[in-house]
Formats: sequence, structure tokens, C-alpha cells
Amino acid sequence: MNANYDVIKKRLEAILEPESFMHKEEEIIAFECDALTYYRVKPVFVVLPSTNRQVSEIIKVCDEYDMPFVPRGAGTGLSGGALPVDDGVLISLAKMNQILEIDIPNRLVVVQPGVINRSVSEAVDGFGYYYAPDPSSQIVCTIGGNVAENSGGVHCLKYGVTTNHILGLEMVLPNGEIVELGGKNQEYPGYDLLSIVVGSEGLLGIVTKVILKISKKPQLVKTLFASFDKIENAGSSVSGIISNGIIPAGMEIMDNTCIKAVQISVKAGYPEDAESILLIELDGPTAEVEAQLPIVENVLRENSAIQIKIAKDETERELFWKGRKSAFAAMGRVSPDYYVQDGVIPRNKLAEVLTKTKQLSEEYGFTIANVFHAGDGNLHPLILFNSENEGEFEKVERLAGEILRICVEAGGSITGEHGVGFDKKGYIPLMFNEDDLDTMQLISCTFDTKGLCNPGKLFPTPRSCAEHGMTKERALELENKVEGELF
Amino acid sequence: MKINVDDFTKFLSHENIHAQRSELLKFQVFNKLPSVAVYPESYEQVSEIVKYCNENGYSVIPFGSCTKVNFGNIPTTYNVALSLEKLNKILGHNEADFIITAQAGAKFKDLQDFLISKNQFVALDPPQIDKGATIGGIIATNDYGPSRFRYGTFREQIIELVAVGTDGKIFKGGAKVVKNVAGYDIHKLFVGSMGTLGIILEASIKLYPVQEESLTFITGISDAGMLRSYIKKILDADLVLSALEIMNPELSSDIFRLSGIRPINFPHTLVLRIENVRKAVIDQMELVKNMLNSGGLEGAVIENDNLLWSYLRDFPYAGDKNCIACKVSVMINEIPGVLEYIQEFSENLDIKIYSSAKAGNGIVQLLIEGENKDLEIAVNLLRSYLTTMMGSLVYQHVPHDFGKFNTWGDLGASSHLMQTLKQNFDPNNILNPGRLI
Ligand SMILES: Cc1cc2nc3c(=O)[nH]c(=O)nc-3n(C[C@H](O)[C@H](O)[C@H](O)COP(=O)(O)OP(=O)(O)OC[C@H]3O[C@@H](n4cnc5c(N)ncnc54)[C@H](O)[C@@H]3O)c2cc1C
Repeated sequence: MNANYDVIKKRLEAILEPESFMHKEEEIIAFECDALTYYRVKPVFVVLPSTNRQVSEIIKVCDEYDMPFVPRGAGTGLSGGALPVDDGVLISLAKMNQILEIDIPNRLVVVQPGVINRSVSEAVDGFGYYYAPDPSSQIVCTIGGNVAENSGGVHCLKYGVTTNHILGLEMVLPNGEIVELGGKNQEYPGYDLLSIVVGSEGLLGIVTKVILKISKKPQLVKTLFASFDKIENAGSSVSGIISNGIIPAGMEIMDNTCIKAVQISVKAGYPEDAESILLIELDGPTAEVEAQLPIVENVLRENSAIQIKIAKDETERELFWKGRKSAFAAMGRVSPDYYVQDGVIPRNKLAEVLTKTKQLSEEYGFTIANVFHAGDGNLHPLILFNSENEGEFEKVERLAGEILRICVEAGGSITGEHGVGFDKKGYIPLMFNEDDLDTMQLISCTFDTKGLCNPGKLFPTPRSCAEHGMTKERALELENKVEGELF
Repeated sequence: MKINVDDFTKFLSHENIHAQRSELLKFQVFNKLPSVAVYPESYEQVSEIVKYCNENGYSVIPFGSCTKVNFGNIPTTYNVALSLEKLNKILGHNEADFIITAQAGAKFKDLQDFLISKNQFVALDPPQIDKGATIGGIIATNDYGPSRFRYGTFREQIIELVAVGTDGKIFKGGAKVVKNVAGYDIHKLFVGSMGTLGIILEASIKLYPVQEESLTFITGISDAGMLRSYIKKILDADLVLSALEIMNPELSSDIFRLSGIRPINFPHTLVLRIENVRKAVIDQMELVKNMLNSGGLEGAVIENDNLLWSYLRDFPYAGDKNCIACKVSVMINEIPGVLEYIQEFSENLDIKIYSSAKAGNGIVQLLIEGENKDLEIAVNLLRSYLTTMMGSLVYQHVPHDFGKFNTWGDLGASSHLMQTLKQNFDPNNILNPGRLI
């Protein structure tokens, strides 16, 4: 515990309204983990600032007393990115939840970081617009969390991920200074610092305002699925469609284990005996969608689709998507626990990688269900297990790690959208060598010389900045504390 | 600084070290010539050269095909020209996954021609590709063309980058997959970094399928009010446009003449392009015609539109004109006002302005022709006008003898972070010193 505990407490209390400052065990327990609930750490303080000034003052106190701090949005992150530090402050942005400006002519919306992803689309829906990145968690997750993770969604094949929809932001640097990056124009002179901050997993500062690009709602949306008796055929349909010059809004593959679980939980109308299904959404101007649909159907038939079903109305369309979007939760119906993995592979390696994961599944004795953002090669293998059984979670972690190894060996990545966070930092060396990581450290040190902002995440071993900054010993000490809590 | 050219023989064979004045002329940047030009053939050689220069305090400017030497501030010092010309291979094309990997010195056009033969393409149409613009150069300068409206800039297309840092370390950012969030997006940071953070060696780029059909619609618009309402109508319509440009008469008459289209004489010429599967293009073009004709505009559909777009792509091309080429960036709905302002103030000065606005991106590209003193007045006027709307103006070309100037204008509220970043990546300030920071 920080030797200056009492002083810091007093200083923070002076900055915040009483209900926005917490230090009692029963209050802070709700913040001890994100959606990766296997890791839990209690912070010393939890603060819920409502203005950028307050954020800045809080951070100045942290900086003065070398107290680490961790930003948090809604806590839906799946990689432990918002996992607190045991001698640090957890800064929740939940109270900074105002939409500040809607500017339709310039196609932008200015929000505070605690605004829920879906509320942005809702706010501009009446004007015929929406905010494109749509993670499945969009009814709860925050824009601040989306920016930190560079979140994707089921429509990112055509429309891109968070980084493609951010024009600018305001952030509080780890020394308390408030800066703006980018703005309302699409281009500014100088380095594109925005592209670094988006996806930096909360390591470079606290985002306090975001300027989002909004998009026009498509005139027509057509959703269909095709079932197959070989997952390879679903995979080659995906490349076939793209090769025909068509980029659908989304393409999702589910395997039989997934289909069955989904059918039990939401009855999405998927054929339960199918080995796999490919869900496709085409959207855009009517003239475009109507021209593309017959081409897509043709490709599916050429790839031996057993059944092709086009949603006949909005209700059926929503049902098809409900099945996909509840795929994670549906696992709860067939297994006490499940672990969500997030890896990426080149799209032509699908069959090869699935065969290998199947072997692993048999070797380790756990069922693996597969749902897959097929359009962009982003796999979500779901490992089914029971955490009550002694040692099972550790085994699952090893299996999940093996899957990442397979993804990287196939030429892919250890994460497509959930981030590295605390969970996967040990796997970073599969993709990046020391020289790559040293270069990334140059960026960390540009923003955070002391390493106080969300320490112990993203990078496998603690590093310090050249001049002042956290010593390696201190960083290691932090590390050990977290591990100590866990195992 | 006197530099010891012989030292480079430690890393390079003689034919890859050029020190004759005649051989150095093409690397002239404003009034500065390097002492030596080096042509590494491997990543290791680039690494050794940069490390050696860093240790000796020699400043290095990397080059692709020298198509943009007058872009950026005058370098404060300049000793070594590092040409990536010999690192020009296409390293891999994963056709099924729509990804290509090429070395920095590969010519964009070679890459694109190769891909088009496979029915794929890089979704960028930067200028000067016929003059040999290279992948590395385009990334470093963040060049783009009209298709930015639909596909964005290199930032949207690059998925992995390999580069050399000043300490000689070869590092990468990103991965060879279309979706990936592991680590900081160093590959995106390097887009537009003007060769000031490291030497780009290699890039992986995502690809798109070639579109079956392309049609272009052209119409003239007589005043700013109408322009405003038509831009809005078009942006709000249910259309997927590849590009939307508004040209002034000086530019449109040139471009139409070159591409064999009958000129139309209006204060503004609107050009929009639709690319898609054939039926989708034809149907959307019908919509465009109905929408604009019902407003009283007469337009023409251009069928073989490639030539037209290649001229628009290459604008602004300085050639041997005494001119400033620059780009203005403002909010989307400021565009009609900016165009009106440009038209008005050019009438009062002894200059000729060619302009094309990317109306959906809030960007106007300009080529201002005239004597240096008039050019100076023009850009100063424009810059002060733009500050009222938080806009920026960046020079992409200035005359050799323009005197003192600032390419970038104000770098904004985060300029000190940019300084720190530069300092961290290049503590001895040897990479393109002064050109950006
Ligand atoms: C059921 C379910 C489905 C999901 N589906 C998807 C999906 O489809 N696509 C996808 O990409 N993700 C998905 N996720 C993951 C998660 O929802 C996203 O990562 C989301 O962006 C996290 O937002 P959050 O507000 O919950 O952030 P948190 O979990 O609170 O934090 C995430 C990270 O952001 C940092 N952070 C938060 N706010 C700020 C701020 N203001 N400034 C700086 N850093 C900040 C935190 O420190 C942390 O590192 C899903 C999660 C669940 C539980």
C-alpha cells in the first residue's frame, strides 16, 4: 500500500463528490474485474469523475505520488484490460456519459467516453444515420472502451473497426495535461497520433471526449444464411463472394456445436443437423443489394450449399442475427463455463486451422464450439468446461494458448478485437520480437514516462523509459502482486 | 559536415555508393545536395547505414523515386540520400486472402498492374504513379487520390509495416491479416510521417476485388448556393460513390480537354463516379440522373472514364510551372464557402488557381500558379481565412527559390507530443531533420 495513503485519500476526496469516491471493500468489489472474471484484483480507490478537469486533477495526484491508475468503461472487456492494480486507483468513466453534440451536416457526433455504443446510433437514428462499429456487447459497452480496444463488430468487414470511425479525441495524459488529437476535419498536419491512441488499451492516457464519424443507414438490408455439410464449403463461399467483387456487410460462420446451443437458447431457425452455417448480410442502396443478391446465391450453390434461406422480413432478419449475437451466451445452456478465445487467421487457412483445433480439443478433452467472423478471418473458439473441477481452468488456459499458437503459425494474430490486456500479454512474443517491442515502448514513453497508466497490460515484461520512470524492480513487484492474487 | 564516403564501403559495394555531383542532382532538396547517395540491397544494409549515420550524426533522407522532393520543409541538414530503389520486390501475394506484401521501393504502378491481372487492386489512386511513385514514398507522404471518398487513405489499407529505426533495429507493427489489434498500430503511425521516424522497408496491404463496371456523371453548377444544396443531396442519397470532386473552370477545362470530353463552362463542375457490379452501377446512375435533372441540371454520363480519373488522380501536378500545390482540410459543410472564397480572392491577385474539392472529405487540392511574391500573398491569405474555421493548409510543392516557408502551418494542440515522439524515435535528429518537426 502506498505510504501516502491518507494524503492521497484526502486529496482525491477534495476533487470528487462524496458519492463518486469509494474506498470501502464492499463498494469497490464491483470493480475488481472486467468480463474476464477469472482474474480479480481490488484497487485501493475507485473514483467516478464527471468532468475532464476532475480526471486531470485525479491524475495529477497519482502522478505526484507515483500511484498507478487504471481506466474503466463498462467492464465488458474480455482480456482483463480494465483489471485494477492492487495499489492503484480505478478510474471509472461511467459518469461521463453525455452526448455533447450531434452535427448531421458534418456527419459527426461528439461524446463523452462513458456513452454506451448503442446510444450513439439511437441518437442519430431519426436523422437516418448510425454509428457503424457494432460489437455484440453494444448495449452495454462504452465508446471509451471501444476506442481503447479498437473494437470491431459483425459489420466490420465492409465498414471497418473503431479506428476507421474516429475523427478526434480529447485525452488526459498521465501527467494530468489535457490534449486534443485530431478534430472535426478528416485530416490534420503532423503525426497521426490518433491512430496510436485508438487501440492502445488504455495505456497512454484517459480519453475524455471522442469525435465519432457517423454513417448513413443503408436503404436496403438483406440477410440470409446457407447451410453446409462441410465447413470448408462455407469457407470457400466466403472467398467466392469476395472474388465476385462483393463485400457483404458481414459474413459469419457457426459450427454444429454452436448451432445446436443457439437453437436451444433462442431458436434462430438454423438447421440443427447442418455441419455449419454461413450467415450473410448485404446492405446498401436497393439498386446495389438487388444486383448482388443473385450473384451471392449462385456462389453459395456452386459451393454445395444444402439450404439457402433469405430472411423474409425484419423480424426474421433479427432472429437470424439474434442467433449469432447470443452465441457466446448460448454456451451457458450446454456448459457450466466457457472461455472465449479471439484469434485471427488468413481467410484461406480456415479448414487447416479448424482441423488442428479439433485435434487439440480431443487431446485436451474439452469441447470447442466455433463462431467465426468469416469475412475477416477472426475466430472465436469457445472452450466449454467446468470451473468447479480442480485444475480445469488452468488446462483451458493452456489449450486457449495452443489455439493462439496455431493462429500465429498460420500467419495470423493473437487478437482480432478483444485486445491483449492482462490475459494475453504472455503471447505477444509469438508475434513481436524484442526489437518490435522496444519500438512500441518508444510510444509508451512518449505519453507515459513513469508507466503509471494501466501498468502490467499489453506487454509481456515491464519496461521502463530511458530517463525517469518506473524502475524495473518496481514494475516486477507490481506484476507479482497481481499473480499472487490469482493463483 | 564533411562525411567520410569511404566508410560506406564497409556495408555496401562500390556500385551502390554514388558521390559524383551529377549522380547526386536528382536527390537535391531545395538548395541542398547530399554528400553521398547510397543504394542498399538488403534490410541489413539499410540497418547498418542508418546505425552508422546515427552514430556519426549524419542526416539521412530516404527516397523512393524522387517524385515528391519538394514536399516538406527545407531540411535543416542533409548528408546522405538513402535510395530504396533496389528494395523493390513484391514479396508475396496471398490471392485467396486478398493481401499483398511488397518492399518499400516497389513501384505502386507495377504492384497495381500485377494485381489487376489477378482481378484485385490496392484501393488507392495516388498521384504520379506513372512517374514511378513507390509504396514507401506514398506511405510516408500519405498520398491519395479521388477514391479516398470510398476507401480512405493508406492508413485504411496498410496492415503491416517493417521499418528500420535510428539505432538500426528492424521492427514491425501489425500483422498480415485484415483484422488485428495486437500491439500499437505502428504501421498506421508511419502513414504521413514523412520518413522522420524510421526507414520503411516493407508493407503489407489489403486488397479489394476489381469492380465490374464504372460510370461517371458530370454536371456544371452555377453558384455556391446551388453547389451547397447539390452536395448535400448527393451525400444524402442512397448511392455508393467511389469519388466526388468539384473542379473549378481552370481545372475542368484542362482535364476535359486532355481526356477528350467536351468542356462545359460553369463556375463549378461536379464529377461523381460509381463502381460496382454492372447492374448496380447502371441502376444507381439512373437515380443520379433523375435526382439532378429534376433539379434542372443537365449532366452527361461518361462511359470510358479511366482517362478522366487518371488526370484527376494526378492533380495537382506541378510540372515545370512556378507554383504552389497544396491541400486544404476543413469540415465537410465548409467546402462550398471555401470554394467561393478561393474564386473571389484569386480574381484580385495576379495568380491562376486550379482547384478540385473532395466534397465528401472536406479537402480541397489547389495548384496556384504565379510569381513567388503573389504566391506568398495568396497562401497567407488562405491560411488566415482557414484559421477562422480551424482548417489547415499543407504545401505539397513549393518553388525551389521560395525562400522561408512552413509546409505544415500550425501542428495544433498536440505538437509537443509530436516533438517528444520524434525525439524518442530519433534522438539525434538524423532522419529528415526539420522536414516535419
Ligand atoms: C458478450 C460480449 C460480447 C462482446 N462482443 C464484442 C464484439 O463483437 N467485438 C468486440 O470488439 N468486442 C466485443 N466484446 C468485448 C468488449 O465489449 C469490448 O472490448 C468493449 O470495447 C469494451 O468496452 P467497455 O466500456 O466495457 O470497456 P472496459 O472493459 O471497461 O475497458 C476496456 C479497456 O479500455 C480501457 N478504457 C476504458 N475506458 C477508457 C477511457 N475513457 N480512456 C482510456 N482507456 C479506457 C480500459 O482500461 C481497458 O483497458 C464483447 C464482450 C462481451 C462481454
